[in-house]
Amino acid sequence: MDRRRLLSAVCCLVLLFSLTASAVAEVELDGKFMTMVTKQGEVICRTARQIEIGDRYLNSNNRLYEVYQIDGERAFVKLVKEERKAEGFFSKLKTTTLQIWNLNLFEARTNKKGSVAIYHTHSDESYAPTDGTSSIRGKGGIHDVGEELKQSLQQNGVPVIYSRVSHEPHDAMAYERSRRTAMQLLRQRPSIILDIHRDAVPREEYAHEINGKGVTKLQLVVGRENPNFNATNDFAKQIMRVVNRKHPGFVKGIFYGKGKYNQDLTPRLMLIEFGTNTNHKESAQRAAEYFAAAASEIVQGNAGNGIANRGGWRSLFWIIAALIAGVGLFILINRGGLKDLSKEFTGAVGENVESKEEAPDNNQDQNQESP
Amino acid sequence: MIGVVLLVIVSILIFLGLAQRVLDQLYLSDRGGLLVIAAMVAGSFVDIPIMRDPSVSLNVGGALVPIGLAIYVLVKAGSRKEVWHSILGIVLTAGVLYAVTKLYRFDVDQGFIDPQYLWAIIAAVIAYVIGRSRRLAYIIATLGVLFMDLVHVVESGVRYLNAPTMIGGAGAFDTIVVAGVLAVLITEVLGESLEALQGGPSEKGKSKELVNALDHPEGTEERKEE
Repeated sequence: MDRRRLLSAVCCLVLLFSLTASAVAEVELDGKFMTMVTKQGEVICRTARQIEIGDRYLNSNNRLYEVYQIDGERAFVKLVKEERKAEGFFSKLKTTTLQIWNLNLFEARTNKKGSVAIYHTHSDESYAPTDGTSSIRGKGGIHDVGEELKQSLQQNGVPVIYSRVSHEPHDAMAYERSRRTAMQLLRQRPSIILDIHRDAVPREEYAHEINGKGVTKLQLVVGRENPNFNATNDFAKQIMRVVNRKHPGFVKGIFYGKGKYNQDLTPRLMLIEFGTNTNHKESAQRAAEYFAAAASEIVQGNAGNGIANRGGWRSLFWIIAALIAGVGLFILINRGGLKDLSKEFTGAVGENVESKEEAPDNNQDQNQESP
Repeated sequence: MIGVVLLVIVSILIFLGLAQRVLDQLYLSDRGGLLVIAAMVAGSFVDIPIMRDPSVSLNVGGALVPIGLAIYVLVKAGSRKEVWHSILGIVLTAGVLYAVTKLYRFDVDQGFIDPQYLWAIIAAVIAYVIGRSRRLAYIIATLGVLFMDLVHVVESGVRYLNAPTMIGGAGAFDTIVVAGVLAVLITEVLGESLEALQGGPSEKGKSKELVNALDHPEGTEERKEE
């Protein structure tokens, strides 16, 4: 028995550590990055992440690329889809009609000024040229960007709830800790909620100019493991469309990361990278100012509700489809077919049936414990 | 906004439905299960401050209720063996979770799976290997994540991080609850599906009586009634 336990423990450890073999330490940067390029040599994006075949990136021209081959630090991408821009005559007509329709029928709701909640999952993130280092425990330079964003939004008439709560250390539990902050903020019913970060790639990747002033570009991040993926993705596209309409190329693209970054809590939670650790913090602060002015119409809930709504329906459809398929498969495998299906459901309502069903279940579990 | 609102409502309902299904496995009647869910939802809005420096608080719905339930399940365990399995599982999970937290690099550009799913998978695998028990999966997932919070309290105090520990602060959607629910579901799917695919429970090493009972569940019931 003891040998079995020991073997079990060893199996667990081997399995888990083999899954995390590439991991090294708590340090965030190792100076390496990968570049997504087309076959013609056009650079699409740089990232500090290990890119894999199948990864996708949507750039500011609404072109969706997918990685098909990896060669060292270069990942070759091909154009998968060119998203239709909502600039055509018919889409403009549709948007305007929808806006008039909404304003007439739901005036009270659409005119209500929602607030914006801001927090930082990685509260240590900083900008090396101005902060002296890329990471400052407890009070990273990212807070100054958050503060600037808060003030600029307020100047644009948008109420802001800003949380400076620290979620350190910068480890794998950071998102679990910031999830609690996000939930506390959500209790105050903000219109949208923003998790502000900075990236870790060469500065050129984010260098940009607006009205002759140096700013950092922005990158939106959407988690692929989020059950509400479609709704969040459409919300991201909506932000990119509205902001880039005012300042072309300012939002450099949408990165589809593995994980969910707490975006399962609400379809209107967006993770935004304000520049990278090698940019000057002032550039990121100016970016926050321009972003606040450009995005205030989204955060107030007036623009693009229809778009995020469409994503909501799609997510809903897939969740229900997955649920039906999952439950069906589970019942077919475990309950011996469709004839037992009714039994499965009556057990959930009738106390009598339930007690009958529970008895063998309990027995089975206890039996399995015995040698 | 109807689509988004419906999406949120359905997501919550599915999550609570799954939670109810899970509570069914934990010595709770349907009514008891619904009460626990109601307590978790209502308790999500109540935070109890525990310590000032480092700041620690405990959420009723996200920590007190699920942890209380885990302890209840542990106390109600059928045999001493089950209790030992649970303690072994908790210690093992705590150790593995701590190691993985420090080793697994997860960020926007790093990692292969969201940590919230990873904790549940780790707990489910450990529970399956040690005891093949769904109850064990719940206990070790819930207490394993709680342990990580306690580690954070210590770390926060020792390293002067000035980072509060809001145990269960996300209420019914906190990782403590989500990991517990997911771990039970993974163990159930993993265990039952594997068993069904191999054509029933393994007979190796089991007593004749047990094998007979497993082959004829009706017989087991008859014997119980006598």
